[in-house]
Amino acid sequence: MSEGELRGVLLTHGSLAVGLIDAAERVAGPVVRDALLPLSNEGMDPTAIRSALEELAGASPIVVFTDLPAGSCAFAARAICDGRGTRAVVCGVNLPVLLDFVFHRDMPLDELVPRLVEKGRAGLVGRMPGGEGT
Amino acid sequence: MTISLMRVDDRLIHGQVVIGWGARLDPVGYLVVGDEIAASSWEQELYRMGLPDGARSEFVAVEDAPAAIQTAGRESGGWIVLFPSIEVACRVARTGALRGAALNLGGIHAGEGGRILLPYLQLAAGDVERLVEMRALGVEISARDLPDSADVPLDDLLR
Repeated sequence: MSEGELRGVLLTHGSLAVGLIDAAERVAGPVVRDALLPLSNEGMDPTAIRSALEELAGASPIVVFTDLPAGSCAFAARAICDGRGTRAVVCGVNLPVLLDFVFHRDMPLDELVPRLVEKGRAGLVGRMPGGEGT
Repeated sequence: MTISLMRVDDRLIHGQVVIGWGARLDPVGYLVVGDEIAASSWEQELYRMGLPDGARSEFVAVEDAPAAIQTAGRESGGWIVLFPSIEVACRVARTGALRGAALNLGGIHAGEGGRILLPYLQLAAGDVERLVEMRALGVEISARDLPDSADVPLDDLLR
């Protein structure tokens, strides 16, 4: 992973981050390993979560992906990213979001983040019992 | 006193509290006690984002907690009171404000060197003494992370 290249850190409850990255790699291949890092909030208080996230982030530009828009993961992500021009947060991560991120990391953050949010929303598709879409 | 839940949880307002307990208890609001959080408007804003629509929130310093808890207790509907640490809860307990109350230990992650009593309870130095002190002050203490988990009384925790 080269210094200065945009990376994603998945900060989630339990082992969701590891599972999502594993799933992304099965779809997109080893390129995922250069792009995404997992972090769980398991067993950590809010200060420890922030420290661990800061350590993973380092000096590189990052997008922090969290599972929920509120709670300890989102809190830590917002705390270390807000006001930092090379850091952004995307909450409610799903697999379509990660796959799009991996292949569009060269986009400017102010274009990439809205794109990722739209990809995430578009990835939610419902089918009713009668076969109609939602 | 209609306090639905009085809980020590270092993550304060988060999924387990709002969804795990809140969905069951349906409180009118969440009262957070702590000097640091009471002084930080941006942290309060982040915590409020985790609340369900219509839920109220109050963030009070330790010295204001007895009065705030008493006020919340007079309201119908019930409040959830949250302390970020056993140390903060003990400071409030010393005022007498928690006499007769049930204190839930729901999530303490002291990290390396902490005394691990349960997967969600890693106590910091001095916490055992504070728990014993609060019990002597008339506070009923037990541990339970979620409503359907086993309730573990203090005596069993310290055995």
